[in-house]
Amino acid sequence: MDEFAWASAVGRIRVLEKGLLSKQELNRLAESRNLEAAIGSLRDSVYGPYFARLENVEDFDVALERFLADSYAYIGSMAPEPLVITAYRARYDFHNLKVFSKSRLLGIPREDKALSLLGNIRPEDFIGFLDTIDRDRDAGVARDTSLEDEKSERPDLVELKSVLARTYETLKSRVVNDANNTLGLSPLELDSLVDRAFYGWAQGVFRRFGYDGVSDFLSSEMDILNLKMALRAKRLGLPCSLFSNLALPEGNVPSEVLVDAYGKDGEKIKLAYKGTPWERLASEGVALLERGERLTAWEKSCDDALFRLIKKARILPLGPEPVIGYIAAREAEVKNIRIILAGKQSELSAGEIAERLRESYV
Amino acid sequence: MFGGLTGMLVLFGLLVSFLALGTAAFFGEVLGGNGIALIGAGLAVFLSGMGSTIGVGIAGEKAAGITAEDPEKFGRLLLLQALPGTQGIYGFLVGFLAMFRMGAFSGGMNLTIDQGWQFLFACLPVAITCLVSGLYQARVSIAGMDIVAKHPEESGKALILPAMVETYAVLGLLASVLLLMFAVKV
Repeated sequence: MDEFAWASAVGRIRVLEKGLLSKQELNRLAESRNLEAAIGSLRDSVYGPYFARLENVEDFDVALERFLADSYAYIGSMAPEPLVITAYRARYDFHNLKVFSKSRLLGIPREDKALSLLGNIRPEDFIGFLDTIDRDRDAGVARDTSLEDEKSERPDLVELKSVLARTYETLKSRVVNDANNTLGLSPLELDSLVDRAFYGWAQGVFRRFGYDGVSDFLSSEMDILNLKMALRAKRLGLPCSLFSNLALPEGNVPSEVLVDAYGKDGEKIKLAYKGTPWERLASEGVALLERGERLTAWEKSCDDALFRLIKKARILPLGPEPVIGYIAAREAEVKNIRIILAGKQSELSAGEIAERLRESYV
Repeated sequence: MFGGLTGMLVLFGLLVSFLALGTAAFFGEVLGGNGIALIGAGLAVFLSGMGSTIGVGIAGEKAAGITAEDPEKFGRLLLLQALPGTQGIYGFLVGFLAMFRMGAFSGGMNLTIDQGWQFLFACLPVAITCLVSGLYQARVSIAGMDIVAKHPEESGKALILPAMVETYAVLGLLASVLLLMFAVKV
C-alpha cells in the first residue's frame, strides 16, 4: 500500500470537489420553471459545454453520460495506480458484458440505449473484443496467445480484458443449446455470474494493493446489494436454491449465512445483519416486506446509506479513497440532475422532484 | 504506530538508531571515543534529514496537485510544504554543535570512550523526535492543504495545526542542545 503515491491526485481532487453541486443548488435547480430553464442554469456549471453541444434539450442524458465519461478519463489520467480506478470503473464494462451476452448467447434483442459509455472499453470496441474471443474459440486458439497483440495496451486494460474474456467464456460454457434450443442459463443467472465476476475481481485488485478503505466499501456495497436482492427475491417468491446463485459471496455478511436465513424467514434475515451498519435498514426492509408495502423508498434509503459511507472519504488526506469518493460524488450528482431534468420533462412539482433526490457529496 | 508507510519509516529510523548503538557497543574499542561521538552527530543529521526529506517531498506532491488545478494557491501551500523541513535544520544544527564541542573543527579531537557515548546519547533526542515529528507533521500539513484547497480564507488554521507537531521537534532540539552544552564533559 502506498497511500502517499496518491498525494498529488488527492490535491487535484480537493480543488475539483469545489465544483460539485450542493444540496441547496440541486434544490434550486429543481425549482426551475421548466426543462429549458433548468438546463439554462446548468450552462454556467461544469456541465455547460456538454449541454451547449446538444441540438435537442430532451437529449440531456447524452450530455450527462458524456460528462461522466470525460470525468472518468480525466481522473484515470491522474491516478498513480490506474488499475485501482480501472477496477472501480469496470462495473460499467461488466454491465455492457451483460447486455452483449444476453443478445449473443440468449438471443435477447439488444437495446443500444442499455449500453453504458462509462466503461474502460467503449461499447463499439467491446463488439470487436467479443468477436475476437468467439473467433479464437472457434479456431481453437488459446486466449493467452490472442492476447499477444494487446501487449502494447495499458497493463490495467489487459488485466480487465482477460477477466472479461474469462467471464464471457464461462457464460458461453453455461449455455446449452439442445435440439429444442433450451437455454441452460437464465438472464437472472447471467446477471449474477457477471456481478460475481466483477465484484470478485475488483475486490481482489483492492486487496492486492492493500487499500482497505476501498475494499471495505466494496464489501459494504455487496452487503446492501445482497439485502436488496434477498427482499426482492422473497417478494417474488424465488426458491432458496435460486437465491443462493444470486447472492454475492464477498460481503461482510457471509452469503451462506444470508442464504440460510433466506430459506427460513424475515426475522432470520434481520439476524444475519445484526451488528452490521445495515442492521436498521434490514429491520425496516423486512417490516415493509411483511406488511406487503412498496420497497422503492427503502431502496433509496439503502443507496443513501451506502453513499454516506463514501462521504467519509472527504476527510481522508491521502490514498485512493478521496479519488473514488469524488467519482461516486459525480455519479450521484449526475443521477440527481437526471432526476431533476426528467422530473421537469414530466412536469413534476419541485417538491415531488426533491423527494426523489439522493444524498449529495457536499 | 508502525502501521502504514509512515509507521514503517519510523520503524526504519529506530532500527537505524539501534544498529548505530549496537555498532558503538560492539566495536567501541575499535572506533574509540571519536568514532562513537561521530556516530551520534551522524544520526542527528541523518534521521532528522530523512524525516524532513520524506515529509517535504510528500507535502510537495500534494501541493503540486492542488496547484495544477488552482495555481493561485501556490503561496499558501508553499508554507505548509516547508513546515516539515525545519526538522532537518534542527538535526543539522545539533550535528554541527556536537562536532564543534568535540573539537572536530579545531583538529583536536581526542575523546575517551565515555565521552563518545555522552555525545552519542546527547544527539539521540533530536535525531528521533525530528524523524517522527517530520513525518507526522507532513501528514498534518497534507491534511491542512485540504483546508487551503477548499477554504482558502481559513489558511491560518491550516498552518496552526501542523505547527503543534513542531513543538516536539523543538523540545528534542532543546534537549540535545542542553545536553551537549552542559551535560557532556569535554
